[in-house]
Order: sequence, then C-alpha cells, then structure tokens
Amino acid sequence: MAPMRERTTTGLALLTASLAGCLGTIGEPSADRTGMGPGSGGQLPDGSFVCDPDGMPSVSPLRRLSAQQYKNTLRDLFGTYGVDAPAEAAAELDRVPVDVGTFQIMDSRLSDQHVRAYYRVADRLAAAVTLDDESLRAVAGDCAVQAAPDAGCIDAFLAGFGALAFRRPLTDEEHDRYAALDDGTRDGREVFRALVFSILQAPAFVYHVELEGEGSDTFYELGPYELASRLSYHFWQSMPDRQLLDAAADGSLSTDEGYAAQVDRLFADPRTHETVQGFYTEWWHVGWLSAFPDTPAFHTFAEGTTIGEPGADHLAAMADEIHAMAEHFTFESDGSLRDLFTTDLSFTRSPHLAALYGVEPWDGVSDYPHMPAGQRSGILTRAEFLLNDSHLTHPIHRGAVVRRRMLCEVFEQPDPATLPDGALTPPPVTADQTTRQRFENKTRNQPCAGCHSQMNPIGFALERYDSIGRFRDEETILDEATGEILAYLPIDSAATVELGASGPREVDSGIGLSEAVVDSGMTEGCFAKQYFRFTFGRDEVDDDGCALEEVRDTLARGGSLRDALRSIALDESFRTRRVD
Amino acid sequence: MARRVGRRIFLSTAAGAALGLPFMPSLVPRDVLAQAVPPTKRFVGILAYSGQFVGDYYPTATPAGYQTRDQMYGGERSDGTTALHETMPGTPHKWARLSDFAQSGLSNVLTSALNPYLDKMLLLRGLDVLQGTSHGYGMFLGNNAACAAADQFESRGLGHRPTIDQILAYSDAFYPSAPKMRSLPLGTGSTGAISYSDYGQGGEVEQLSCYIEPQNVWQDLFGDFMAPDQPVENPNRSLMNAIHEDYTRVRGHRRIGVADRETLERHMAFLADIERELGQTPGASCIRPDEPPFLDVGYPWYEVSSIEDFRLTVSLLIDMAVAAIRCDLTRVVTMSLEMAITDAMGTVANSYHSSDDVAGDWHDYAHDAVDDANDHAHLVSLNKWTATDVFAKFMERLDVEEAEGKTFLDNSLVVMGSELAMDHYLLSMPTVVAGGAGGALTTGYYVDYTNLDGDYANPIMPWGVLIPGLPYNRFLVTCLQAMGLQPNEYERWGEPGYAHTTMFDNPYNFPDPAYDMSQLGAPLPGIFNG
Repeated sequence: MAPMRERTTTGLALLTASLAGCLGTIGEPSADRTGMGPGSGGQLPDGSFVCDPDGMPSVSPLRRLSAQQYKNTLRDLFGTYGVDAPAEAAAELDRVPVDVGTFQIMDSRLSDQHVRAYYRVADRLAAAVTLDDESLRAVAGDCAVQAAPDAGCIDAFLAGFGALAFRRPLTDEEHDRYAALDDGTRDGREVFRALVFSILQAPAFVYHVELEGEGSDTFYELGPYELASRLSYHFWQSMPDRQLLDAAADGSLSTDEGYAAQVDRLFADPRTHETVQGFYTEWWHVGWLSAFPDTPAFHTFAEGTTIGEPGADHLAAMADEIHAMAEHFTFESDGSLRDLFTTDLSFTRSPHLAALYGVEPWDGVSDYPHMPAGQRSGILTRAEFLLNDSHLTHPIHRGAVVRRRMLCEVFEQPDPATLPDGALTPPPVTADQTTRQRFENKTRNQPCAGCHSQMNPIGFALERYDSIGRFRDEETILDEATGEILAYLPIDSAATVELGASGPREVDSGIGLSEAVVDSGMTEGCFAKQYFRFTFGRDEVDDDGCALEEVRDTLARGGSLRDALRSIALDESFRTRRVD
Repeated sequence: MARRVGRRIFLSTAAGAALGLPFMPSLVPRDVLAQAVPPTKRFVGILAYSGQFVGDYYPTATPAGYQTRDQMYGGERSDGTTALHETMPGTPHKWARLSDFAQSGLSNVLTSALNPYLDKMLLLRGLDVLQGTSHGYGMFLGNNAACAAADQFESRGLGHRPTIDQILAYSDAFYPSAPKMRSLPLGTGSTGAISYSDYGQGGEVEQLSCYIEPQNVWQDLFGDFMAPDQPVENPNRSLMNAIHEDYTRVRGHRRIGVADRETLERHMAFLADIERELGQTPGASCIRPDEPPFLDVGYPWYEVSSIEDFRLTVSLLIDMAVAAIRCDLTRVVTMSLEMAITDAMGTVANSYHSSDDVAGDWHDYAHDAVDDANDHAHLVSLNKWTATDVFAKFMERLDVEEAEGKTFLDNSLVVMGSELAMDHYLLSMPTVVAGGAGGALTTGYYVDYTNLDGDYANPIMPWGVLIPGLPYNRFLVTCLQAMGLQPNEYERWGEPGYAHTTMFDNPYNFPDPAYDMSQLGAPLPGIFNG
C-alpha cells in the first residue's frame, strides 16, 4: 500500500506564502499549526535566547513513538534475535500512518489508524516469531518450543525480550501479569504469541513513557532507563542498545562522566549520521522534486544538458550532493554553520551534476574540487536549493524560503480577499522582460510592496542561477507553449538585502547573499530552533530558552556543527521532565 | 457529549455484538417490522474537487413550460440555466421534478446515467458557505476550518470541528449499539480523508486517514470474518482486555499530566473498538465479498500505471463499502475523489486535484476552464466521471431491497458535493442527494434556494452574478436530523445548527442581511419531513 500522503497543498502554500507575504508581518509569532510558526523560544532581537538558569524546562507531553521510531524500534528489537521484522510485517508496517509536518516527528496525532496499525503489526509479528521453532527458539529460547514451557522459561523471556521491548526491566507487577497468561488455557506456543502480541501494544512499547526518577510529581530527573531511551531516540531514532541499557543498570549513566561518555559514543555511531541527515533533509526539503517538467519550454531550456538521457539522474545527484556536504561539515570535519553557507567545495560525484556546475566530479578519494571562481558558495547556491519545477525561476519563492527556512522568520499569510484581482497569478512571460523584471512590476505597488521588499531582493540576488541551478549571465526567454526561444536578456542580480538586525547590505550574487545571510546573526538561532523541533517533536516555547541558547551560542562562537548537535543532549534540561 | 471509555463501557461493548438484526427481517413479524422498527439509516458522503461551472452542473434544458433564467429574468440573473417556476409548498422557493429533465439528462455533469434514480434524488441549488472563498476540504461535511492555507480560516478564529459523518459515527442515537467500524473513510489518491473527528471525546479534532486500497478495507472488515454458523473466538480478543488495563494503570500514574491522560484515554477508546470488533459476528444475510487484489495504482496521476486498475480500484472500494453497509458493519462512508478520470480529449487519462496549478491536473483545468475549451472539457469530464462512476454506482448498488419494499438506498442518504462551489468559489455548493433517509426527505426534485428576488447580487463571475441563497449550514442540519439526531446531540459550540457561522467580509461574499441567520438551526425548508 502506498504510504499516507499529505494533501497536496504545498504548491499553493508556497505560492501564497511568497506572494501573500505582501500583507504579512515578519518576525511575529504565528498561530500556524504546521510548525513553521513557532513560539519565540524567548528569543531576543540579537538572535540569542533568554535562558533562566533557575527556571524549569517546558512541559514534555507523553508522546507516541514517531512512525520512524516505531519501525526502527521493531527492526532493532527483533533484529537482536535475528528476526527481520520489517520484512515479516512489511504489509502491516506500510499501514502505519505517515507522520506529516514541518518535521515528521512533530506529528503527535493519535488516530484509530495508529492503534489499528499497532494491533496489526503485533498480531503479525507475534504469529511470525511463534509459528516456527527456529524463530521461537531465537526469541524465547529452546525451552519455548516445549508443549508446556515452565515458569522459568517465561521469566527468562520477560527478562530478555520483554525488557528490551520496554527499554527497562519489567516491574514485578508487570511480570506477574504477563506470566499469568500461562494460565493453562493456552499451549506453549500460544503463550508466547500472546506475550509478544501484548507487549508490542503496551504503552511501555508504543509510547515514550517517562515516569520514574527523583523529584516531585511535576518536575523530576529522569530515571536511568528513561534517560537511556531519551538519548537513543534523540540520536538514533530507535531503542537503546545493550551497552546503553547496561549503563543505565550499573548506574554509570547517572554520573556526569558516564553520561558524557555515552553521548560521545552514541554521537559517533552511524545511526546518528542517519538521524542528522534526516534533519537536514527535512529542514531543507531535500528531494522535494520527483521529476523534471515535461513541457516544450523545459525541453528547450534543458538542451545542452544530459537531462532525460539514459542513466542521468540529476535530481538524485542534487540531493546526494547536499547530503555529502552536510556529512562532510558535520561529521568528517569540524565544520561550522558558516561553512554550510559559504563553502565553494563541490561534493558531487555525478558527472551530470558536475557538468551543470562546470567542475570535475569528486572521485571519492582526492580533495573535493572547488567550484568555478566567483560562482557558488554553500547551500543557497546549490542546485538542490535552487531547483524549481519549471524552466523559470521563482525569485519570490527563493526569497521566502531563505527567510522562513534559513532565518526562521514568520510570514503571516495575507487575507487573499484583500488582495487586488489577479494578485496571486504569476506575471506572464514576455519577450522583453526578465523574470526579475516581471516580478518587480508585479509587486512594486502596495499592498504587495511591503513584504515583497523583504523577499524579492533575496531572490533577485540568486537570479544568476537558473531553475536547475546552472550559473548564467543571461536569461533565455522561452515561449511556454512551444518552447521557442524569444529572447536572451541580461541578468541583473544586484540587490539590497536587510537581514536580521544587520542593516541594509548590497549584494550582487549568491556568494554575497550567502555571506549576508550568515552574517545576519539569525542563522544560528534558526538552526537551534529547527534542530530543537526536529529532536523534540514540537515547537519551542519560552521555557526552552536554555536548550536553544546552548546550540545557538555554540554556533555563534564559531563552534562546530558536531558540538552544536551534541549540546542539547548535554544541557541539563535534557535529563529532566516537567508535567503539566 | 464526550465519549470517555471507562471499564463499564469497555466490557459492555461485547454485548453489542448482536448486530445484523436489520438483515434478518424474516425473524420479525412483518406487521411489526413495518410499523415499529425504524429503518436503519446510513450516510454516504462523496467529495469531488475544484467546483463546478454553473451551466454544466445545473439544468439548462427548457422542456415544455420552462424558460431559461435569461428569458424569465434577464439582466444580471442571466446565466443560461433553467428557471424554475413552481413554488415549493409552504416556502418562497422554486422547485421542479427532476424527471422533467430526463430526456436531456439533468446537465452536462449529471447526465442521463442518473435517470434511473431521479425519483430518489434531490438536486439542491443556492446553498452557500458563509465564509466564502477558496478550497474547503472539510466544508462539505461541516469542518469549515479545513481549507486551503491561503484562507487562514484557522487564524481568523475558525477552530476545527468534527465533520457530520463523525458526529453520526459517535452518536448513540445513530448507532444504538456500536458497529464493527464506526465509519469507513475511502479515497482515491491522497490518504487524507475528508472526515475530521474528535472520536466522540470532545478533544482535539483530527483529520482521519482513508483507505485507498480495497484489499485493506476487506482485510479490516471481512478479513477476520466469522461465518454465522461457524463462530470462532478470535484468540486476540481475550488479550485486548489486559492491554487496555495496562493503559489504565499508566493513566493513573501520579506523573501523568492532563494532556497525557487525554492521549491515553483516546488510545484506550480505540483499543475498545478493536476488542468489540473482534467479538462481532455478521448478520445471517451478510455476504462476504471476495478478497480484492492488491492494486496499488499509484499517485498522483502520472504515477498511475493502469487506468483500468484505477477504475477497478474505485469500483472495488464502492463494492467494499456497499458490502459493509449491507452487512451493517458500518453505517457511515465517506469518499474523497482527489484523483479521477477524464476522457475529454478522446483519450482516457487520470487527473488529480493538486493546488500546484500543474498543467494537466484537475485544479489547473478548473482555473483555466473559463478561457480554455480543452480545460473546460476536462473539468466537465472529470465531474461527469464522479457522477456516473461513483455517485451513480453507489445508488445502483444500494438500490436493492432491504425490507418491506424499501431498498438500502431508500433508507440512506448518499450526498455528493465538492470542496468548491460554482466557478471555483463557495456560493451555491454543488449538492446532490440520493435516498430519502427512510422517508425523512422528500425526493425527486430540483430545488432552487437562490434568492432571485432579493437585492443582493455580486457581479464578479464570468458567467454572471453571485446571488445568495441559504446557508449551507442548513443542509448539514438537514442531514443530521434526517439521520435521526436531535440538535442537542450536535450543537456544541453555542451556535445554532452545524458548521461555523462566522461570516468574513470579502469580495466573494455577502453581508449578513443576505441570509436569515435566525433559521441557521433549522433544516432546509420544503424537503424535510422530520
């Protein structure tokens, strides 16, 4: 079954987010439920967050495992016993509702489809591991295949599989309740099927249950097993491994040294790389375009490239390049946030994408090639970011994305009923106007000019890159219906941008814009917010200021991305829970 | 009426397993059945996308005795559609027998394929969404906050509310005993349902996900089917109780917060539903459909590998829904047709509704239809397909005798609407109804609630003017009351009737005086029999 898909309003939302920014207000909190409209997190005009060391962290609601966490946990739990849960329950797992939101993990909805999916998966896996002797032996030991397993066999299963599933030892009460399933009405195999079925639907498996630890009923330090789980889901999006559970059991995780050692260990694990790449993917919408347009205009536009040729997979290469860049600066080096925005290194191994850039593909061994001088720097100038589903660029969209996604500014969408007729209709292509000129004319008057003066210059500075990311000095004007070339017009990418509190700044290229963005003082705080949302699955609020400031300050001081990503887990608030 | 699942309810649901009695009329004396047993009612809501064009959706033919609006009114009332001249008794509104238009078919969209059911249908014109403007996925069934992001209805104060299908799904009046599945949301393309629910608990309202794969419907409704003469206890059923208790224990922990408790209670309610379903046996006359193949047709339209598979998917989804209705496994079905078929250019092709304005999609056709004949043809073709291949198919398959000469269709309400109204706006929502909800509605008529004699007209349409009618809210009230609900079972927000009543001031709308807001809580005049 195809996974649950988000209703396809994205395009309209982007269009209106950009054009409709006309009447919006920048920098104000939003009631938007998508997560793009955050709380302030106690942020000050200089971008820093207010951290009250004596304050309490924000409330941590009880959350179900995200869809990804749920699947990863099943994979790792059963994988411990050599059982391929994703394969055994592929059809059932396919029906787990897909999380949707700014970051998928922010989807905390619980519908009947979730609970039905948990039921189906539990039913399927319980049957799968108890139907044949080999699987049952793997999960519950040799004793489990007896017609009537003794109490010790069930005890061992609960201490093994049960404790792994719950990410902690079972309480005596839980143990007795599960053991009571062997009440003489079930044969041995059915007892274990019932146990697996029940355990996989228990709150301790399906939810992040964090109820133990020292403190009051409303604010307390997490118990060691709960802390182990919080760490592992933070870094790995999955259950703790044996080493982490052992550290919880022997008390070492409760010491500062032991905790720091586990943070280091988990961060170095390849699963953390996967998680962090997931963060970048969602933050930057990597891979958003699934196919190039199939229009006469685009075919003319793409002439001279290998797009459409057998074996040419430009879109995958564009996404891969972003992942390679993020991997390099996050894990392979002590890269900084500035590096992500200013590097002129090329990371693509694809000859097709390299040809668009005018560089040699990276061979995987040598130093990374440099982009042609004066053409590119960092994420804002890479094809994946510049991509549009048209032969035309959309400078307003680009500007809005920079402000919303990279600077975390909030655009309230205007009431469309108050816009002039045709305000949301893109300006028509004419042979005598560049894209910039068309959009300038479209938005030069009020009420649009107010906010478009904030977005347009950013997009105009990026006009030296076409809609597949090629660097250009002139724009080819095409007849949209026939693909006929109408004109070649010179590119004007000079613009005045005003970002954050840094005042007006003249830029004339993507390189200058990237410098301005990273100098704005807003990117560090935005990174902190986005990562906070990604890892905690909710919007930040004022009480989260300390955790946010930890990340922001690390980056603002020129610290590495690696240190910034580790810093939330090292903040004291990470080890506590507050209840409403 | 919050629905909290306590232990008592959890246990008692097992006793509600004796469903299917409506399918065993032979066990009940005929005279008693005819006089004392109220019909079992069902609700089916079908949503198309991108609205309609007025001249394609409403009749334009002029059978003997009829004129067009142009001829009867002229001026800004002219739009090429047929003017009605017969006054509906007891109302100021006009109506006409649908059968009067049988020769030509009702319209380009509502073609002669619907003719066999004209006496069981209602075509309603002049039902306006008060907020005006743009796409409203939830407005069809009463959650007006669920709309295109550009409209900002949420930030303008409209909170999400359950759609009426979900009000029915969790109504004790509608379901005297709990069914196997309270509602069956279906869809083509996106798995986001048009149903929004608080699960009868009064908490947060969420969009449901819908079934797009017939096999999944079959698995959940018929997969654990137990033949009436061979009852077999599902071994999982006895385990669900212990799982439920596990949640009860966590819920009672001193460190569980208020929101945490609500989450756990919601989870427990769903567990209770599953346990109840595991214990149910179908009625004796219930026929288990064959398991459909897994088709996975793809989405969006350019990913659809086979038009025929898509057709089969839609047909099987309807089959599964009708089978579920006939087995009384559910009484509520919704279907979102985000993907549909057009053959306007002679080649059969898929289309889907995307707000991206992608050339070739339903939304794009609707936007460009005014000036582009091809796009107009596609728009008509897509809507014609929804009317003939979905709406009519539901009618056909439900129009089989249930009891005492009445068909399932007679006792149902099958409603087809759109997330937009005429010409991509929200005035005069396309609304066609089949079935009479067991006699609660008068059928067989085209009813025009447009206030053609009023002062308000809004000359912004390419085809003429907007003229207000009655609030669409009253149609929702009509549906709810036709299904047997009283106002105290659905009026929860201090507003009369159902759906949001806030009016927004914008160019596509009318000021308050255009509508009689004092009647918001009343069913539509002239067609509701109580």
